[in-house]
This record gives sequence, structure tokens and C-alpha cells, in this order.
Amino acid sequence: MKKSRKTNPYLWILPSFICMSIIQFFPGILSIFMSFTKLDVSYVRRPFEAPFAGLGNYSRILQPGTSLGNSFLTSLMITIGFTLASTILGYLIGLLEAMLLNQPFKGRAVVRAVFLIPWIVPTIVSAFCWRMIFLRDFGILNKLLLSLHIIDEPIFWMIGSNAFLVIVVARVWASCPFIMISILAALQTIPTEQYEAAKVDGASAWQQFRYITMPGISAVSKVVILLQFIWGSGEFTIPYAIFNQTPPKEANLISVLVYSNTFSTWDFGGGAAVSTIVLSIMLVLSVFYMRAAMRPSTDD
Amino acid sequence: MKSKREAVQMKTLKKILFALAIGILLIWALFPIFVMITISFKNKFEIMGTKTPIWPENPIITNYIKMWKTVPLLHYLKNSMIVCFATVGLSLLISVPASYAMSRFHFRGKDTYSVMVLATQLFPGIIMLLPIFIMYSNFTALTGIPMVKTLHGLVIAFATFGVPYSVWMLKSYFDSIPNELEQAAMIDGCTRAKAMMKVVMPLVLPGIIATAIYVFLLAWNNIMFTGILADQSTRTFANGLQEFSSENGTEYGQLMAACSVTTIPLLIIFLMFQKQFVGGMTGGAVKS
Repeated sequence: MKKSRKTNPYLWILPSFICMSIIQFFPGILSIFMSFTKLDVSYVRRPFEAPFAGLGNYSRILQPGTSLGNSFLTSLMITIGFTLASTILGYLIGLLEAMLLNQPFKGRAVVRAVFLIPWIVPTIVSAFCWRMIFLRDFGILNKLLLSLHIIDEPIFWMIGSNAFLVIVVARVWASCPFIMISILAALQTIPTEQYEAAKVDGASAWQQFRYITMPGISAVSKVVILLQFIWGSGEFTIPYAIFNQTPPKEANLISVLVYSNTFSTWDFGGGAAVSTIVLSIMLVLSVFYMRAAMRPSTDD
Repeated sequence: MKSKREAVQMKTLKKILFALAIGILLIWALFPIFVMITISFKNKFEIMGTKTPIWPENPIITNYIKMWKTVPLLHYLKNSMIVCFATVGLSLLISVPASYAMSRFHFRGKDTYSVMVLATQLFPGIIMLLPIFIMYSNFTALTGIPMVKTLHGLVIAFATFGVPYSVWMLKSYFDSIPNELEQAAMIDGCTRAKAMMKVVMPLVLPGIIATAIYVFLLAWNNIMFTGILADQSTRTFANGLQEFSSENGTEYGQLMAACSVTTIPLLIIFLMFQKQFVGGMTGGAVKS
């Protein structure tokens, strides 16, 4: 007992506390502060002297007709749609992969390793690969579809609403290994006796899924879906790299919008206001989701 | 008899569907890699041709030779290596003690601290980019220590971004090691820190490796921060890849060759440590 009193737990967490405070929380608060000022390039060296703008940045963003205002609402809708679509699709594919891998079969270890590959491929690399696949004139997908006579004319994948599809596909591909491995871990904790007992009682495959599998993976699924939602909403690399830094408006996610707008016009105040709105939306959605999906847990 | 035959038919059908599903998902997972590798061995005409097949008819390796000259890749690779390894080191140095304390000690404010760790996950990268840029600029103005356009500036930012998830992952690893091990070592006269280093660390090595891979990839993948916080001399590999596109078009063959060169070593390392990695991911991210 004497020995353990000697160790001060606060010293152990102190470095991480300092780092997170300086590099994550302080910038977050600074960003909210910046969103109420007219901070531009001339105030970079003295951010606290920037003139107060009140809600000026916010009204500018929400007003169509300004350069940011025109793109903000579209971009917000696209980002929400992208996050939802890629989370749902990624979850379904990840779930399917996990359920297949939960069956014993020859070569299962190899298949599992292959399913995990997208996790390790750098996002920027996979984004460039998707560009090669979806390009109109010499993209691999059009080549494949043309040679199989499924289409007669090459399809424009990279413009219009197809561009949205492209970023969703790229995101789903990159995210399903994490979902798969998380669900698989949960599936493996379900005792096989439960399934055997259910079979003896004459339960159908659906009933087995509904009453044994789903309760077994629900806790994990809730966490995984929340994480995917948060990570997806901040996605930057996929649209930025696939469309060579200038995505069409159907693929112009919020992060890309803020990035290209802020560092081309040096309109820090406007960029910060956009970020703050998105952060608030995410915060509200996450809290709402956690209230609905997760009962207050009692574990440490 | 009939029902038995039907049952056998059902079983075969199920097997075929199962194999089909596995096959489609394998193609799905491998397709971009296949495209990357095949294009890296194609010449310009085969890449740009609309009627050429998707595999290289006359494989060439010129892309792998020329790419180093088109873009100063070796320099960028060196930068990336320095940034990534330093990030991993610093991030572990910060998160190992923190996660150990989370796992072993009871202290006031522990819940607040763990909420804080989770809350960082809510911040999109973009919200921190502008303020960090401003903070770095001002820090330099105040102290004379350069931050923007330096490698250590990137390391400090990335190491911190890696901390919350690492703390979370490592905590569950420490949780899986019985406390009695350190107690025994401490009775033998070790301090808490020494007991952790000597007794617990070897046991959580798989978790450390998994965390290290996660942090490494986080730093390796980033193009948002390196795009703003780095310049020509400190540019990282991921950002350098964009330089294959210029006004004269994109050197697709060389781009894919450069992508292959970075991805394949990562894949080999990953396949070597696959077990630890999987254990680490699931141990930390999902605890039901």
C-alpha cells in the first residue's frame, strides 16, 4: 500500500493532458473565437486584435450570393449524405464479410488478410487508384464495361451526381476492414452452443440472426457506426485526391471547401465559422445518437 | 428420399452462394491494388488507349526508374520516414503512461479525463488546421523557434492526434494483464514505473505494435496538414505524390509506380504483424 501511494497518477496522464489541451482543445476553442472575428491574413500574427465581426461570418455563410454562401449549404448536404451513405454501405459490407469469416472454411486466414488490405493502403494511394478506375476516357471501369458490352458509350463517372457515388465507393472501400474486424471480434464471443440450441428448437436462419447474432453484435455496432459517422464527416483526402484538388460540387465535402476557400482567400473567419457550424452539428448528432443508442454504461 | 435430395441440393446451393460472395468480396478488396500494380507496368499508350486491355501487354519498368527524377521522391520519402517514426515514438511516449494510469489507478477526475480523450475524436481535422497554423506562426514570432515548414512542427501535431485513440487502445491491453504481476514485482522492490517497464511492457508488446502501426499510418496518410504546414523542403511523400500532376497532364504510370513502392512494403509489414494488429484494433476499439 505504501508503494502505490507514492505513484501519482496525475503525473502519468499529465503529458497527454498538456498535448491534447494545446494541440486539440485550444485550437478548437480558438477556431470558435475566430469565427466571430474578421480574421484575415493581416491578423495572423496578432489574432486577438482582429476586429469583432459578431455573427457577420455566420450570416455571410448562410446567405446565398456570397462566394462561401453559395457553396456552403450544398457542401453541407453533400457531406451529410456522403457520411450517411458510406457509413450504412460500409457497415453492411463489413457485416457480410464478418459473417462469412465467422464460418469455418479452407483458406479463411488468407481471406481475412485480404479483406483487411484496404485498411493498410494509404488513403491517398487508394484515392489515386479510384481515379484511375473512374476516369472517363481510359478509366479501368469504363474499359471493363465497354469490353463486356454492358455499356456502349463511356460513362462520365467524375462529374455530376456520379462524382458523389465515386467518393462514397472510395470511402466504403477504405472503411469496411475496420467495421469487419470489429464485428468479427464480437461474433466470435457468441458461443456456438446458442446456435445449436436454436437449431434444435427449429429456429430459421433469420430467427437465429435476429435473436442471437444481432444482440451479440449490437454494442459493437453502435460504437463502430458512431466512429464511422464522425470520421466520415471529416473526410478530406478522398475527394481532394480523386479530383486532383478541385472536386465538383457534388463531391465537395466540407473539409475540402474550408481548406480551399480559406487558403486561397485567407478568409480565416469564414472558414472558422463553417468549421464551427459543422462541429456543432456533429456534437448535437453524436449526443443525440448516444442518448438513443447507448444506455448510460456503468463500466469504468 | 426426395427431401434428402432436396436437402443435399440446398447444401450445394448454399456452398456456391458462399463461394460466390467470398469471391466478389475478394475482387472488391483487391481491385484497386490490381489497378495500381498493372498500370505501373504500362507505357503511356497502353494507359491512355481506350481499346487497350486492362493488364499490361508489354510490361515495362521505366515508370519505376523515371519517377524518382520527375518528383524528388527520395527526399519526400526521407521526410515521411523521419516524421512518421518520430511521431510514433513521441505518441507512444505520451500515451503509454496515460493509458497505464487509466487502467491501473483510481483518481479523481478520471471520468472527466476519459470524456476529454473521447471528445477529441469529434473535432474534424479541418477545425484545428487554421488555429494550429496561427499558433505556430505566433510561437515562432515570440520565441524565434521555427514551427511552420518544419518537420518537428508536423511531428508535434500528428503525435498529439494519435494520442487519444492510442490511449483508448492501450488501456484495454493493460486491462487484460492481471495487476498481480506488478504487485509481485513491487513487493520485490521495484517501483511502479520499473514494474511496468520490466513486467507489463513485454506482455503488451502486441498492443504497442498495433498502436504504433495505427499512429504511423495516421502520420503517413495526412495530406491536409502537410499541405499547409510543410514547404518544398519538408514536404512528405503523400503530398509529393500530387506533383505527378502538372499543367502538362499527369504521369499516371509513374504515379501508380510510386504508389506501389509505398504500399507494398506497408502491406508486407502488415501481413507479418497481422495477428497483433487485429488484436490491437479489436481490443481497443470495441469492448462490448
